[in-house]
Amino acid sequence: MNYIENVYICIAAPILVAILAMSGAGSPSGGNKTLAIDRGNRRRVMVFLLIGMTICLLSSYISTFLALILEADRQEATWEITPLVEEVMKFLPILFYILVFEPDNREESAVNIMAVAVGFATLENVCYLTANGAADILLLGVRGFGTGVMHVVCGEIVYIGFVFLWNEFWLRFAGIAGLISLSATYHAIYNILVAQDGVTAWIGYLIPMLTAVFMLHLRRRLRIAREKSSS
Amino acid sequence: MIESIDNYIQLAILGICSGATLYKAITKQRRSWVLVTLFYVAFFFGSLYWELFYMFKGDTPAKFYVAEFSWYVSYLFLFLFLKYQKDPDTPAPRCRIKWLIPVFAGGLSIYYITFGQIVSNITSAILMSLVGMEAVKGLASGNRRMKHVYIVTLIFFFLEYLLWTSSCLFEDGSVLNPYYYIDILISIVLFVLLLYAQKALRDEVTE
Repeated sequence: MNYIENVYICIAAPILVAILAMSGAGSPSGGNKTLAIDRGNRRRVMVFLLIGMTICLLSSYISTFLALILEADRQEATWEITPLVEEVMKFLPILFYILVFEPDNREESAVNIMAVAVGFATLENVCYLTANGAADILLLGVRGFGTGVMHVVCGEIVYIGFVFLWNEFWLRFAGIAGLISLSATYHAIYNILVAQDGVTAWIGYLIPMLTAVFMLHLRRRLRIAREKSSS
Repeated sequence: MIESIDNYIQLAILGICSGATLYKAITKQRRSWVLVTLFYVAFFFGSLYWELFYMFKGDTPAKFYVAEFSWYVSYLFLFLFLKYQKDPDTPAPRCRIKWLIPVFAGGLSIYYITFGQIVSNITSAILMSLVGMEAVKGLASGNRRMKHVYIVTLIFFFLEYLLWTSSCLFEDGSVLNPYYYIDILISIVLFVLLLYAQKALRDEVTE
């Protein structure tokens, strides 16, 4: 039996304490505005990390509920229901942040997506660890990287929308909704592959890592192009 | 056997198209190329998911619409690509014939709904209507640069409906089932669409 709530409390508690501690020290009393902004950014990343873990917890409830409603077995739930639920849920806090706080910098929203993805992957990995034991270090390492990177890559897929499709209203919403669906399919393909044995599972674990390297290259190219156009 | 051959041909063509458009999107860094890439990648992901599911489970996905969502998203990106290719200087002409597209798509979706999957059929009818209407509007606008893209998009539109209709009429998995040949034809049309899109986007730069 895997008590996801207990695991959540254990990991979330220190992060919550850190967020509270940062908020106490964040007042720009001395007039050092840069330091205050920097501290605010760090705190925001921590908040989104915690939100990512919370979303992981809520997603497991919703996926279980939908699996019961649709009478899906464990495999069907993992391959068909969980990916879409998780990707939609991961985007909801970002959507809330964009609509309520209206950030000026879209790069900021992209960083938040990553923080949510990392928080989500962390709780998922710890739950996997408590359910399956920590004996096989190689498998744990590959799984840890594979799943962690997969969630980050799914976040990066949505990030494309913030870079290329942000300027026009309808393009922004239709494009990002489309990208969430795309990341859900990517997630589902990963889930199918890693559920197999042997080489197929290894291919599944490798795909997100290769995609992440490619995304890193893409981001570097984008940054260089942006710097060129601004100078 | 024929189903696997059909799927592999489609995956190969979509993989090539996705890779080619991705390369263009990275090197050109233009929104048009990003939208074309997303169209192909979404279509590719949907087909890949479907094939993997079928390969490892021996059945088609039935509980949730992951592959379908991906295909619908590809229609959405195709629509967005066509929508943002309009010539801003040319005023949009009145084009009543475009309304035949939703009538056609709606009528057929009612027929498909008799086989089940109400939400899925309505969603595909709406998105395909948007794609078809945009293509007809584009043709009526006289946008010469995009003319062939609009024509190939309309061919894709009608082939998709022919494919879905054939899946309702012929259910056997034999070699004689026209469904597989129409699906292969769609793969070829998608490749042709890439060639014309590439030409249109190249001309966009030179104009």
